[in-house]
Amino acid sequence: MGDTVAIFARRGYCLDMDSNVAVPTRVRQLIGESGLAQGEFAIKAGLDTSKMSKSLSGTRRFTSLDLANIAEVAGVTVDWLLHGDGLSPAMAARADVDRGAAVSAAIGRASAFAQTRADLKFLTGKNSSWVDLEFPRTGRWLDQAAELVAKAVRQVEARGLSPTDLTLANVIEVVFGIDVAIIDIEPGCDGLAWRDADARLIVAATSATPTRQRFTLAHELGHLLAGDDQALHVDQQVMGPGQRGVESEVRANAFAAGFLMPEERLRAACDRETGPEGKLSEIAFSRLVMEFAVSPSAMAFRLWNIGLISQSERSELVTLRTKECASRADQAEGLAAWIEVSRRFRPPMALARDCLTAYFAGLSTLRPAANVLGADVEQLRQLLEPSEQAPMPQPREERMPVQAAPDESELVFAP
Amino acid sequence: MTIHWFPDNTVLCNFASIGQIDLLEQILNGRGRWVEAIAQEVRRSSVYLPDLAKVEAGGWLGEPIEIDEISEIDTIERVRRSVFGGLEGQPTKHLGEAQTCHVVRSWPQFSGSFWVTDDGEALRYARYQGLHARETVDLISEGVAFGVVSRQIGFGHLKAMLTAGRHLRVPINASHL
Repeated sequence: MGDTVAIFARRGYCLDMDSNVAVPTRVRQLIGESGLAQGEFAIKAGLDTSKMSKSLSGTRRFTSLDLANIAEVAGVTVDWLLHGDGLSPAMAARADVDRGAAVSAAIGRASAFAQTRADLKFLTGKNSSWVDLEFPRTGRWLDQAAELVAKAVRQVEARGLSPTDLTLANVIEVVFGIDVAIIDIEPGCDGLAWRDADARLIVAATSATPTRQRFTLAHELGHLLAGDDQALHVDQQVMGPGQRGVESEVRANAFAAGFLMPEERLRAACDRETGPEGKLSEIAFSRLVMEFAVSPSAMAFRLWNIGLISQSERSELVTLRTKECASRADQAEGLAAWIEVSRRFRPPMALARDCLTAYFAGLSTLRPAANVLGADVEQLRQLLEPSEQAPMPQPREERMPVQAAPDESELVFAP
Repeated sequence: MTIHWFPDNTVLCNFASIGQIDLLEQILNGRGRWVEAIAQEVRRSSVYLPDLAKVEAGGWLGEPIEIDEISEIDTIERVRRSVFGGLEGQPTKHLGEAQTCHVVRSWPQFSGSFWVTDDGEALRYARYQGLHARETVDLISEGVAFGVVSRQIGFGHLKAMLTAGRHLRVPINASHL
């Protein structure tokens, strides 16, 4: 455990010059991989065997339905059949299936969100915009991380926000334009970062350990801001021992620590908390842990790394637990708030917002938004359009528009 | 130029659920058409509503329209996902809607055709996109207008569809047909 994997998940929508040749070639490949005879494969896919034969020989073209049926049976996507452009996200998920169900499921969810982002671009013609930070790509990785942290923190503070906000996912979406989802994932996958031409996405697991989730979010943000992998990056254990030797992981972990505990602010807080004897008491340390919403071990190492405590102090403080810090700092309520946030499913809100915007503009049905929100489409429609039994069109031109009744949840001043 | 009607699977199921597929054939009077994905949905639904088998056997919706141009298949797949919420891993879901939407919007010979559906989401989308959308109730009204069915009997058919568990809009009384 603790290792990572990068999977090429490039999306491309340029049609092949020779698609009418390439598509049958890919279908042949799938038939070969299935272990079935051509006729058996055709029957399984609901295709007439003579049509399959003609399509493979080039005397007939595969139809839209043929390709959908073939994709369904073979477990590929229509996009892959048409474009064959690298691994599709769905294929990436399958390629990683031997890493365990948790990773596979997480990639599957990420793939769906990233696909929705790409589809929105098709629908609206608008590109997503992200914050790209310049930083030196030479020298020590820790120094690179420090430079990246400084710029990232400035971006956050310029928006009047803070990396210590409990809703870190919101901060990342608002400031960096990265979609963030927090979903239920079986143990075995802390989170992943996804980057392609149309989407930048972080998926993290819901967790009863809020400090772990926050560190994961910051770690994946580090990967995306640094441009690591240019594809899919899975972290089964962001703080696992196997991560220490991998340079991009060192940088991502250093970024996470620096981002969650910005040096300048941490020094100021330390000055405030340090007693007249110049020593940070356990209670003062606990208050820092709660203020920055990190684990005691993360805080102890950070303080030691920037020279605010000695190695022996670090060794003592690192043994504390978060709940002990909450108790010592008299902030049990604060800890409860952390846990409440970190256990909660959070759909990628910016993506949901953009899907709803497309719906309001009449560019799509409500289903893509419902998919992103994990909501039932009928319930969502009732929520958005409670004055209508269903949003009906006006099939006869002479029908007059009906003025919508106010939302029953609105307060209406009617003297 | 003939204006064609493209009933979706739910509309065909409405008529089949009350044994009135023949009435639908009379109302459409040769103007009905369907795309290949709808034809496949109907074949699958005929397991539960055997009357649906008459649609393909009768041939009155014509040969299922096939789309085999790569660029069109590409557009349909994107519309299926981005507009109708179909998932990448479920390539046949909402394919009928996406194909129908594509041919009535993009194929000159079907310009101005009616897309017939009782799905509120599809109807709303069609309205915004300037497509001509109709519902089952409009088909019955068409039948009344052309003397294929009486107002009272047509209204009775709509109520019978509701009783059969179908989801469709039904006017408050027969005079609205």
